[in-house]
Amino acid sequence: MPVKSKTTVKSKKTKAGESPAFTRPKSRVIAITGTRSFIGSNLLQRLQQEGRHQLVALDLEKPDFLKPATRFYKLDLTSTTADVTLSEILEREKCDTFIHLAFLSSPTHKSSYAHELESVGTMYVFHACAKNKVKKIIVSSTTMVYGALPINPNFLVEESPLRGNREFRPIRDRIEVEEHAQNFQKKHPETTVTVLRPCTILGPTIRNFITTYLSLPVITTLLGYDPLVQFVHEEDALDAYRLAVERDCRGVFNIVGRGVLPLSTIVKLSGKVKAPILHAFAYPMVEGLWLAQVGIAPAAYLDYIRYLWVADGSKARKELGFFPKYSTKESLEAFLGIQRLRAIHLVE
Amino acid sequence: MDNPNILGNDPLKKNGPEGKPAQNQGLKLQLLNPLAETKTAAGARPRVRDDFLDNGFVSPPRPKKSRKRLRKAAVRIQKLDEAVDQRIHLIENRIDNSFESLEKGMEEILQRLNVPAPELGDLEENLKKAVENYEQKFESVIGKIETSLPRAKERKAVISRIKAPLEKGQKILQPSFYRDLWRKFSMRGTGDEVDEFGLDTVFEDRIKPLFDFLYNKWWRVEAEGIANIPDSGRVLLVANHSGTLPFDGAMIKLAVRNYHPTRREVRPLVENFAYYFPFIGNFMARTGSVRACQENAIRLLEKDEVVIVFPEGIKGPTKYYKERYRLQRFGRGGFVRLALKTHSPIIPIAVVGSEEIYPIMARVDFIGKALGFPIFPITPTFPWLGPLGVVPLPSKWHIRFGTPIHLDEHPPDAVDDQILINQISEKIRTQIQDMVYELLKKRKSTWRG
Repeated sequence: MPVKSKTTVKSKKTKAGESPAFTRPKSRVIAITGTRSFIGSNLLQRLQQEGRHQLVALDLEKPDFLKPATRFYKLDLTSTTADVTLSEILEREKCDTFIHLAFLSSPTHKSSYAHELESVGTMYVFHACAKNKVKKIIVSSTTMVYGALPINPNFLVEESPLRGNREFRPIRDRIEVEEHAQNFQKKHPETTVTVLRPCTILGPTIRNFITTYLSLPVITTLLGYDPLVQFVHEEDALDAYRLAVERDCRGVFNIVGRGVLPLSTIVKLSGKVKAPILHAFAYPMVEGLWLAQVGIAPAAYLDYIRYLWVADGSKARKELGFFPKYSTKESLEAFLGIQRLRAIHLVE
Repeated sequence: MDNPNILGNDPLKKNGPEGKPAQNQGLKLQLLNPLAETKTAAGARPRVRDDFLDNGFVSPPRPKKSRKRLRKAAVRIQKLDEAVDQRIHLIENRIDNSFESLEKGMEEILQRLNVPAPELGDLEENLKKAVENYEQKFESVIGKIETSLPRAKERKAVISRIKAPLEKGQKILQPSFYRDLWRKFSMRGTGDEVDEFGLDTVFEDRIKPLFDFLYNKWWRVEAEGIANIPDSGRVLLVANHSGTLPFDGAMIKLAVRNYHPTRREVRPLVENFAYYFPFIGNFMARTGSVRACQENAIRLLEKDEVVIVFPEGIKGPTKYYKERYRLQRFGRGGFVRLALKTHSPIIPIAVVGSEEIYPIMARVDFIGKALGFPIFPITPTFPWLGPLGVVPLPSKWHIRFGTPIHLDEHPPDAVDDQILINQISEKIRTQIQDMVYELLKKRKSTWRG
């Protein structure tokens, strides 16, 4: 490994220098799960381009962009022996950093599979990391765990209680992931656990159930409810993960863009038609469509277009040094611009 | 390069890739800048800066890269030239061939007809006749067109007159017409941007005339001491609450908006229950209200905004008419803690007249609870007159802004001193109560003031 030796020499040189603030971060051995997710694939490609860290990709299938220097292992987090396999991999590769991104971007009908992957899979990851004394773990979460409630403060901070709908399985799974991370940090104070909670990620290339919702010809809203919504641009979100890799900041960070927009303004800017439905009818209707395999999300997600769930990103700004380049409106405009090009088949 | 005449002068042959472009540039410079003339005349090489010359600076030789590039460009231009030559040659050949074939054809025709070659004079006459003929024909055609033009215009106008409503009708038949109409209708009067708490100034301006009417004509509000609010910086306004619907907050907001020298925006803190309902919570947020909680209030005050709280909470506006102008308990002193935490001055406000807009005679709480509201009031007009019962009674209003109370003398750990907080809270309550009594004494009539 010539790359690694080079960087170590450099770091020794800088150590002799005056201020430790300018020392180049050491090369790490980073294991990444969920390499085919949006954040996973982009983050891995960026780290590969930089070529400073040794990378270990863990997934069900090999992604096609892997460079020969990146090691790939097949790993199924839903299998009952996932922790043993993962522990072996971590031991063999001597990983010191773990980025856990194996989460579903859109709701699925296979809710027990989702539970196994998200909640139990994260548990396995933490078990394996504890055994191999991994120095740093980055876990991806979402601001949806705060829950959309009428009594939310206008800006949820990281210390706010996680009041997401626990009766709803996808949200409960994500809350359980956060709890696993908290418990792990309590048990192993020597390990840095960073939990990133991005709000809805929007941009030209990302696709999930929220972009599907925003690209519907008629956007259904709830009659009389017009909550404030925030977005973070996909580039900014990636930057945040990149910063989390470089800087050892423990704790939870909200990753959000600047500013907020009401849902009605989002519909207005996208040039779509708003179809407000009385909430008493909307919940059973959306649930019915979801059960009939037609809808894009179960009815519990309607809370998120009914009440407020805006998060405050000042902690990430102060501690992580994350400054979003795009505002909520700019992220939305980036998405809408590409949508228009897609509509006339200029872009895939 | 068969034909040197067509090829012309090859510019690259004269001053090729390594020719004298530098000299040419120098000449150009001379022409543009007369001052540079003397300098360039002195030396063979064009000089750019004097100080370089003084230091014995010699312009560096041209880097090899650019030479290579020039050479390549020259080769490319030569190739292009050759290609152009070939093309021109080809075209010439073709023209020659066609002329030859034409001559041959003519000769053949003449031979076949056995007619001797026509003389020049006959040809000229024939041509002249033909031209005259054609001219006449053209003139007649143009005349016809000129005469028919106005008629065509008339016809067009008639057609368009018939077509216009038809096109409109087609538009109405298309779904896009209704889509656009709905889009315009559903989004009217809202701005493109809101502040971080959801205040939409465009929407606020749109509904402002109604509140202006209530302020000036319906309740004839008289406000005094608005200048007590500083022109900038954080302030916490504390007022008594009454009148079932929070019109007192709206009127205080409007008074500051219209009559304060810097027209500050007041952010009222609103009870939780409003945010469970459709439309109400929305309306509150778009007009600048914020849900009452410590986090929101601290954030607003740290942004140096004017925040108004009604510490009586829901007990104030829902009390019976017989208890009017008797201030209720001031919550748990949350507003004092807020002022201590953010070091903001408190301005007490007394509102008189708002108790009479909906005099509550009785309350049927179980109906209200079933609907999700705190109470269901029975007033002389509501619910007996139906929607008309919602119209508030036109009492005369007085609003008095007190002088600022600064809590800076208290130590920073006073935030946890519940007894002190309660003391301050009670002090401010009695102060507002006194102000209310003073205003009531001054008032002669409920309706005329």
